[in-house]
Amino acid sequence: MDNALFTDLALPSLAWQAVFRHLGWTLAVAVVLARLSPKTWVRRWWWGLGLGLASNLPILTEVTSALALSFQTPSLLSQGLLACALWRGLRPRAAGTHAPGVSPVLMPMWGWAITALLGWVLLLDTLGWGGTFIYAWGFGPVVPVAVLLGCAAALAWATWHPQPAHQTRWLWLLAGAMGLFVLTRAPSGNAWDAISDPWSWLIASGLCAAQLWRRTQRRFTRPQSL
Amino acid sequence: MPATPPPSRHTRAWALLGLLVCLGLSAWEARRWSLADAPMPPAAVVSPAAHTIGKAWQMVAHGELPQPRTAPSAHASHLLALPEQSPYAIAAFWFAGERESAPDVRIAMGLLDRQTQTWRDAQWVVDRHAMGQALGHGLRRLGNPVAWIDAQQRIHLFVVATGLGGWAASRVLHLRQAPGSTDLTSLQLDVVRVLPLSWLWNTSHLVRNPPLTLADGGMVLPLHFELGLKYPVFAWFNRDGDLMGLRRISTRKDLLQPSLLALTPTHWLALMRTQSPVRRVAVVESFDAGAHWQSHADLGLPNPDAALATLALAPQHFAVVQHPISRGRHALAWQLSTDGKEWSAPMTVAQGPEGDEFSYPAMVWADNSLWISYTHQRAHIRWQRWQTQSESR
Repeated sequence: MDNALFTDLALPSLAWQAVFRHLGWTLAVAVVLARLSPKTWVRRWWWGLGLGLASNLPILTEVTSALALSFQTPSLLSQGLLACALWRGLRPRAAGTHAPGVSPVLMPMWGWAITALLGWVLLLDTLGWGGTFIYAWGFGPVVPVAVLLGCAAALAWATWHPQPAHQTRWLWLLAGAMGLFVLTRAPSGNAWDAISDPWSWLIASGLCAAQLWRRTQRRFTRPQSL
Repeated sequence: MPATPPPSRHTRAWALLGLLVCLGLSAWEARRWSLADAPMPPAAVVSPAAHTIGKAWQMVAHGELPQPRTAPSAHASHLLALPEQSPYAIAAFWFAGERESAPDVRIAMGLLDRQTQTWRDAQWVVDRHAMGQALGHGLRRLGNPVAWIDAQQRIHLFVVATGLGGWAASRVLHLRQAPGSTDLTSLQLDVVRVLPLSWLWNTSHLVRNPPLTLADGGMVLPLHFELGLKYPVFAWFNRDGDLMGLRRISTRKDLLQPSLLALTPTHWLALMRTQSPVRRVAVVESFDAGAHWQSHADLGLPNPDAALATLALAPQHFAVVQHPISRGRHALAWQLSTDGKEWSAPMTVAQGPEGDEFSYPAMVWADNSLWISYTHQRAHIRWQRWQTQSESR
């Protein structure tokens, strides 16, 4: 069998890198600007999207260039989450966020916890702690195959066990990110970069810490029964 | 809270489809396993200078590389031996500009004419603006260049390029000789990519020393991480210059700029600059062609937290150029060894009063001579040509 196809796919071309870099930062700019705008402003998501798209115009390329210079490209999983957040902001009715019984939460807490934990592992690995070089595994097939098989198993379980949509959304996004990585090698050629990045780790760690704090507060402020 | 509704046939169908797609993609990806499992080839053991063993050396020529007129500062030279059919024997690369880390720093290249034995005027080969445009995002600063020639005789250049921050925010930019750019006097380099070396916004990896050639024509490129702590790694490339993987060389957190030596195809040494208070050249050893590394006691060679360079002249015949002092950079010498651990008496390359700087040496074997280059006072790149006495007569 000719192995050229596989070796050629080892790292993404500059063109694929550019596609996902622009897409990622457009989504990030759009969501961040919309989330920072006053909630009373009805059109804030549309303005966010407009400004996100505008950041790719030749006159404003410095915006995406500076973001990529500093932070390279958001992971494909982050891009999926950002796209979901944007869609829910733009089309709340279509996304069903106003429907009764539909959770307003984008992603379940266990998804954030896994994101935070993976980030910590990769951070410590980057700083040279631990005997193995975990980031280097991302160039081989082990990580993508393990993640995709894990997603397949979880989807099989979810097929016969009813789950709220937001519980399986993260799973779908994870499977989609890894699938896209297998097909394009974006964003960097390393599988870890497709499912984790330092910004998602920081946000996930912050959310997990806040959740932990709230739980601890509740435990200590619960009124004692007489 | 309302009870979760049972999944509809529609939902089940989607989940089933997702499951099948996941399994299909897993199978597709798993076909790469045979490639990923292919072991890294052993090193190519070279012997360009076996005839020099046991002979006395002398410097036969020296000088300064022609510096681009607009650049008052120069640093971190690298020497690349060119194929014998080339009209040029050596290509020297270094970074030059107003000062180290200045925005106008570019990568310069000088060519040694094989026939006249003179260096051509330097030419700029890498400009951060042009490279940034090709990449689609800016590059803040340029630094150390390292070159290599692949099996298709194309020059690859690996250049330190910083993101937001100083050298600790460095990435390694991979460039390759453009198709059709056969005339080295107007060398054109295409951007291949920024090498993906770390999860942390891909920051803080630098390149300094030349690659170690592998038996299949590929190479391993020594690198180091330096955000706060410093540790050495290497990247493995196949004969066409495609990145195949990364390996860590040592778990010590005070080692940088590894320089690789192959004692045999599978027995490798990595000599390193160290930031430990001991101030001696650090070394680690691999007996399985870089797959695993073992710590070794620091060498007897002093190291004032400064770069060094090594070169294999022949099996059991190795050279190192480094500072024979534990403080300052005002002396540079080169030494020979049969095992990479015990080194001969130093032969002076440069010596000056305290405060002078002769640093960042490089070595290459070309035209039956040992060539050494180094930074002189951060202003020029100086070179020396060494031969054994019988050859220089």
